[in-house]
Amino acid sequence: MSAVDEDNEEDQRELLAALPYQIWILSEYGKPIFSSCGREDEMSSFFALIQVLVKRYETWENGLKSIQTSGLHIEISFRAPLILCIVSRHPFNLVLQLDIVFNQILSMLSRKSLKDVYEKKGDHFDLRRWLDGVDKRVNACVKGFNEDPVVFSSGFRILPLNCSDREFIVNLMATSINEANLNNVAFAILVAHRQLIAIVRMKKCNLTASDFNIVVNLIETHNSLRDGERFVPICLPNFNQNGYLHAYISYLWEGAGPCLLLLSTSPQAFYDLSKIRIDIEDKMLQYKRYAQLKNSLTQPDPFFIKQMACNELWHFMYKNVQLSQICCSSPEKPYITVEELEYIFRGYFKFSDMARRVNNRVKMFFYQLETFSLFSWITESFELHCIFSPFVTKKTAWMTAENMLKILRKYEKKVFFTLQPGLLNG
Amino acid sequence: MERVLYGKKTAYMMSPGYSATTPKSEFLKLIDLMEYFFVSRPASGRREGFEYQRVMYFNPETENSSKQTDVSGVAEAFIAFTENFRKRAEVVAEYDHRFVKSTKLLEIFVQVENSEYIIGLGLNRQACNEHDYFVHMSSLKALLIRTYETFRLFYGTFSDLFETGKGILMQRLDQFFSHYLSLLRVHQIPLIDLFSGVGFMNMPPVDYLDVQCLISRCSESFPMIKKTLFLYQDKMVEYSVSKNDIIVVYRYLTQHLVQSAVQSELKPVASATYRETETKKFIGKFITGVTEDFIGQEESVDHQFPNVFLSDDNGKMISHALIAYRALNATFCLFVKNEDMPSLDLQELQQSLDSELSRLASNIGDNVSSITRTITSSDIPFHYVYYNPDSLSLKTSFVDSPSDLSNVPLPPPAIYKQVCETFDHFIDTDTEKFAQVCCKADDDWWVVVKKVNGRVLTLFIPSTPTSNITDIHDIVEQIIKSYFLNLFIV
Repeated sequence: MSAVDEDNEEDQRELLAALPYQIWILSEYGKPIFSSCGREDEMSSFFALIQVLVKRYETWENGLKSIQTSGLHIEISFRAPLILCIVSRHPFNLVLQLDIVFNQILSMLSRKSLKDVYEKKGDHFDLRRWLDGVDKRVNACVKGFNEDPVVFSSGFRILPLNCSDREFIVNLMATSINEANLNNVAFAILVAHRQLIAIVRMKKCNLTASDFNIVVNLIETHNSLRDGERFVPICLPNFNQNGYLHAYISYLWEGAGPCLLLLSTSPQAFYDLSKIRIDIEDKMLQYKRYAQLKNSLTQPDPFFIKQMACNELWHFMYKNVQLSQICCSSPEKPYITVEELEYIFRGYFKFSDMARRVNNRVKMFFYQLETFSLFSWITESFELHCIFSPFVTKKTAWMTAENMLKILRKYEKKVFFTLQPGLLNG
Repeated sequence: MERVLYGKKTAYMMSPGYSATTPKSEFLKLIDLMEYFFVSRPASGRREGFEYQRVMYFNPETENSSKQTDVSGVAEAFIAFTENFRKRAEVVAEYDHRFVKSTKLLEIFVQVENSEYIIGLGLNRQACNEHDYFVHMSSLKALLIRTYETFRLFYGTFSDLFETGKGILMQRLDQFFSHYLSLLRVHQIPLIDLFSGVGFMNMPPVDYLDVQCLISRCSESFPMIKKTLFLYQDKMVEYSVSKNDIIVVYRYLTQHLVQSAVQSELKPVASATYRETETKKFIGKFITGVTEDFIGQEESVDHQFPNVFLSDDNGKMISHALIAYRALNATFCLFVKNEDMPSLDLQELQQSLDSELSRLASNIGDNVSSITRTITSSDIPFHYVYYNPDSLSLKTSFVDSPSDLSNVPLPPPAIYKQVCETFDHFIDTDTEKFAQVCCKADDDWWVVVKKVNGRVLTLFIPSTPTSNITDIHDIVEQIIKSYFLNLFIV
């Protein structure tokens, strides 16, 4: 091996060893499609080896799933014609992460296109041509894996909002769309900070939490361009994995407000949808609580822990299992910055990974370490996860939890979306 | 235990599980779950067209040669591939592993002897499900390592054998593993296989000091004795064998040597191996080297004792003679290097040991009966596993002698999975020295794991549907106060 080759190999090795987390996507024919470090062509030998190993197991009528050694976990998901791979320092929630990334790819291509592409174009086709912007989408997913406490809990995160304000928005969206005689809007969604504010939909359509996650990640990729309007095709795999909806994306109040998404079945609907947005903004001005509403949506009313009356409670996550909706407390000392929050969210993530591995048979859980304590209470109707100080006694934790349940039930209308969304014609 | 012919001698093969009297449901035979097992030497298979030569041993032997080559080849591929993610300067553990999961199999590859050899084990997922066995990869790795170390105990390292001849290595591997694998058992609770530990004897300090005195006097009078091990019944009292070897040595001694000695002692007096002349003079006797029961290589030309390989300070394996002397219920094992054996006077040794050892054994015996095991008569039913990685002490209620049969029901199999997952997610981390987890799971059993300074106590508590964490907190405090008070003191 020449000195240059050796240097390259050394660079590559250092690169691989340094990155704590990577996602790789390749075709089942071994062609690189995506790599987190951005240099997928340089990694082609690794990609080829993964492909060989996956195919070898296939000849043995077996499916390769993961390789692990100390400090390294490689999770592999073969979804023909793609092979997806995560290389991570820790083993938690990797399969779920691959599902989310794969759904993200589907949202750009649709199942049918993906299935047909190599048949029509041949094994050597470079899929990257059809995946413009895939890096932004995957990065948005990864951001969610670290920063969104709800991402592995399969539920919608709801922005806390005054009941009547939310009802007003829902009715406003529905009437705007129906009065414009638009029969092709499947969903109208209002989102801020990865949280759902309001949704209206056609009666027979349904939006799953996983599709909502795709919508949220789509918004993330357009986050930096808040002025103006966008109209992009999107496939929602749970809604219809072989077809496209066309998403009109725009931010209210010239970019300062939440994101309005109108998902239409028609690719020509842009102008109609644009008019809807203007109509919505206009009608909002006439709302008697306009000032408070605008304030709530631009600076959300945080759900303070102080209401729970326990000094040692630092963060919580509450899920209504039936509604599949989750609300979280806002950050408070000592965990405020993103890095600090990521640290305690890891407690939630480890727990959800463990619970999933034992088929969700955990009913109650208390974990005490030097930096915090995690208490989780799971029943058929709710899930409550609390982060306490490490010095909290089990008695205090239990009493606080019981107290919290009462308070949260009282506030359910505020923190959850309990209105009927099936209001659109079509 | 079964009789197997080795050359001209008959030998008992050790049963690598626990005592024959433990309930069957707690163990499973590995062979019922196993898809394959192999030992390969990558360097022997580098030549194109001759890759099959890397396979030193493969089980089942009926598997065709190309499949054997494939399986061992893929193992090498996994190892090489994952190496790319390591920084060049990164220090690799002694037993580097790869765990590979696929839809049908669970595979473990462990590199031994400076990564020159690979030991591979594949388990069939379906078989494991049918037996309700939760596969905990780290526990199986520990089992695999012990299997290798057991081989090494009797035959020395793979490399040393290979040097004498490839055929010799292959023959020894076949000789050992073909039989050993059919006997190897896994515990239903994987954690017990994970914690490679030794059962220590609870002893009054005076008796313990007595034992230490005996050992020191013996070592002084007979300087060729390099390592010792003192057992009472099947429990460890004191040892000076290296930590690298102690687990397999302890298992061999308690599960084979001591067991067969006990069995022959229980036989009626008119047994053929009984020597009349010695009974009048001595209470105890040698239990290795004087009977036909031994294992491993054919007896050495220098002496009649079995050979075992123990590591020295540099990690090299040196052949020692295993001299075991037993009086009443105490077994005193001495390890002498082969080259020093001629200078050891066995009669003098027996003379010097016998009366003192018998007296000690008798004292300990008197005290043992007064150390009542109160745990099983506890009001609160529970099971436990305690492990101290520094002393290698392992105590558990799941494997006890029959006299302590507890009437606490065994947890449902889902709980074993729960405890392993809890352990992997929250306890088995290098970053936290202190952690505690309470988890209410299937059928309302509670699993409580407490880690303090590396020592781990796991409790399994059957409970009621309405119990919450405050209830369990009280119960756990009570249990620790009554039975485990001193375990966490440094």
